[in-house]
Amino acid sequence: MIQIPTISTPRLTLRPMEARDFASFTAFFASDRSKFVGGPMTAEQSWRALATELGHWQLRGFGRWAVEESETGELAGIIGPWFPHGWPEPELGWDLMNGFEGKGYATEAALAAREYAYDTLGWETAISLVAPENAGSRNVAKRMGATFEGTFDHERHGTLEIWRHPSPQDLAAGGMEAYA
Amino acid sequence: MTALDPNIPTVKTDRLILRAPHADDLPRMTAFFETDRSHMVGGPKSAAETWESLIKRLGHWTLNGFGLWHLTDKATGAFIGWTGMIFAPGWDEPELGWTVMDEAEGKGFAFEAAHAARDFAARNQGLDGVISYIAHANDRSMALATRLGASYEREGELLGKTCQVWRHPQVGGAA
Repeated sequence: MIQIPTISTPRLTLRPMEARDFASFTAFFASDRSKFVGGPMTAEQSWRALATELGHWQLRGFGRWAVEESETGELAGIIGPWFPHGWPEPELGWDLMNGFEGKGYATEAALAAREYAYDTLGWETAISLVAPENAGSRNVAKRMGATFEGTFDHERHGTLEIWRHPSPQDLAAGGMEAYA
Repeated sequence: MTALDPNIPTVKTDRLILRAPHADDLPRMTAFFETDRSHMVGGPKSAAETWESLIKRLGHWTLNGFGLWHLTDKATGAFIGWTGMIFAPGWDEPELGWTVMDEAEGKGFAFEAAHAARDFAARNQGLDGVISYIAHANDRSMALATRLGASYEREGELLGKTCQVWRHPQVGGAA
């Protein structure tokens, strides 16, 4: 049995996904904002996307969290370690739900997720894949101290940029302040 | 910590074990979905798409409390197909589905598995008198539905494709 941990950050709660997240999922994946991550999708496909997130935890032992805005309890994003078949290596992924952009939530949650990947999962390195036109996502990668490494061609998503995060050793040596 | 326990029960029949999908099933499942034989059940799919299908089956159990079992042939230990209840947006109601892969066809395994899944769903999952969606050209599935006591109910549509809706008999709810 897989245990999905809950993690708190100053403004956010990273918790397991549940059936009640479906409405926010559907709204995000129906919108044009999902075009960089496989959307737009029908409600049926969004439901399968939610099932995919849960099944990923079971098969890999890790996955993305439902990121809740602690103050309101609303679903703000889907963020965490992600390694489906066909990926070049495990990545840290972040999708913000509609209406939660521009608050720094992706960075806040992704930093907590990276700490979990390094400290609990024992990852020695991490990448994030960014669609070339997705300036918002690229900025999150930069804010986290990641650097552009090259590109990767995915069978469905096309060409994606590979952004390499600082390693656990890099972070121990410099801390986040070094990249601010 | 929250337990992610899809609580997938195991069901045994004379010749089969209905059990949770495993990562070990991926090579066989990938080979099946790469062939055109999978075209009536959503294929063909690439290896990456099959991997996603497997984790979706697990997530389906977590979200719905029911889902697809993978089938093990007791005699050989081989993974030979899947059966169980499917329900997602776009489905009119939960559906009993079944697939037996090539080498295990013609032995009555699909009947044995689907019959056990239907009984389990009626007794333990609150799903009785269920439907099956069947593609118009899928004569074998229609023959099996008939053997299971189901009958044609109406024309239907699933994921943008027309199909037939077959209705299974009530088999008796919670004992």
